[in-house]
Amino acid sequence: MSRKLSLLVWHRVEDLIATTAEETIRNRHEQGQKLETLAREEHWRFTFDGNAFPARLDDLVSRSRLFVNPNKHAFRIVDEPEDGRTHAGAIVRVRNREDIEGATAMHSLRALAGTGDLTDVVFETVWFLRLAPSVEPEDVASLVESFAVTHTRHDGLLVNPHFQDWSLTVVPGTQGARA
Amino acid sequence: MGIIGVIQFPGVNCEVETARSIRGLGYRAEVVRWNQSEGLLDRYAGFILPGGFSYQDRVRAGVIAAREPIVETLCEAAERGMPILGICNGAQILVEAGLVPGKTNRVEAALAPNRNGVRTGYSCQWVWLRADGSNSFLANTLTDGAVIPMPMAHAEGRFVSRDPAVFDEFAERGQIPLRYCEPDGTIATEWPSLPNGALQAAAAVSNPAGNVVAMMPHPERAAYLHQVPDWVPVWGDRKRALVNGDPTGLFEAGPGAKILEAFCLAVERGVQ
Repeated sequence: MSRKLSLLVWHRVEDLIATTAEETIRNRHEQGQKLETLAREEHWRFTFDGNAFPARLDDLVSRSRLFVNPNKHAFRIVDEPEDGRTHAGAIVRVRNREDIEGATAMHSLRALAGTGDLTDVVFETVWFLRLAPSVEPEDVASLVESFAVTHTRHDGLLVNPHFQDWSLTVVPGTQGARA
Repeated sequence: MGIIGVIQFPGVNCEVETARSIRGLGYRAEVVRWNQSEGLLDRYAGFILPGGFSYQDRVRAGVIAAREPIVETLCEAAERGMPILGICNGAQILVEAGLVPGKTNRVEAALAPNRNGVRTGYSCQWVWLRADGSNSFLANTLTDGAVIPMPMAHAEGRFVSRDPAVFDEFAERGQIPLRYCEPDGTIATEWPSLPNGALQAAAAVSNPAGNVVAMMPHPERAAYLHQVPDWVPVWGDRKRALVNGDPTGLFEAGPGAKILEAFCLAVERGVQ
């Protein structure tokens, strides 16, 4: 039976991509001042059979340099990615429709691990948005979507729907900055 | 004739050679910083967005620059009919700004990561381009079916849309002025002739009016014969012949000069 593990990668130094995105939304979006913080992680979801792959995953991640640069990244391997990070009001997951990064990682990992246990790798960029306290809970989803999804040059920044899929999760009890 | 403004966003790196190539054709060009937005439409008669990595390609190539105030000025210039050429990262900015394809005021396409079944990420190589039913200023120097070689260098150069059929419409309307092809002009269907998997093998896309063109290959890197590798048919032969004769001929126009000259002629003729 197939099992899954997720690798969560984040910056332990300043994430300049997240900083630039945050500043651009705040300064260019007409409601940008309602964005308090924006953080980013990279999530890799592995599907595999057997026990050989999970036993080697931590070592593969540490040594392969495929997923982390030890000078700037930290990582954690979990059964399921979490949607409940306490600082987030909403989470936007972005995936390229043709997941070239995932396919490339699977190809490389299979060769490195020397096992056919690995059957799928999916890559996502995950954005964590915390909004201003003034944002009403019922407005969170539409506001986050307008921050995230590019329809015109005046709105969303994080997803171009012409080649990327996305999902939005409003974290229960953390709408705005009230949590 | 008016001056051509070559816009330098933070992180682009082709502005100097682009301006030099324009000057080499006998036209006037100046490098304009991205935060210098006042009076641009009075001083300049056309704009080029050169290649490079604006804002380090953070989030997506071109998307941060597309939010800069100067882009609003470019939109006004486009509406006035002023010629605008985006090269590589400049093309990515025009697409993320919605200036190209420009059917509506919305972002109607993307330049997605290359997909060619062979390699991922950044790729650079010489490709062949076919002029194809253009409604744009490129028709000033390129007749339908003309084939020219040019270098490409990008990681995110695949013209796509959520609805692939819109690229069929663009092709019918002459909004795909350059397509990747084989040396004999046959439209490319696979790597290496099609380096990125673009819909309709699009190497360039224009707006409906034809005064704004976004192209991924680099004409400024093929503006002179000395920039063309020896092995490129016809052009390389011409270069080798000149090396054996008068070396100053190496500074004769290369294939990319046709693209830049087409733009300059549009600028010279005024708004379209």
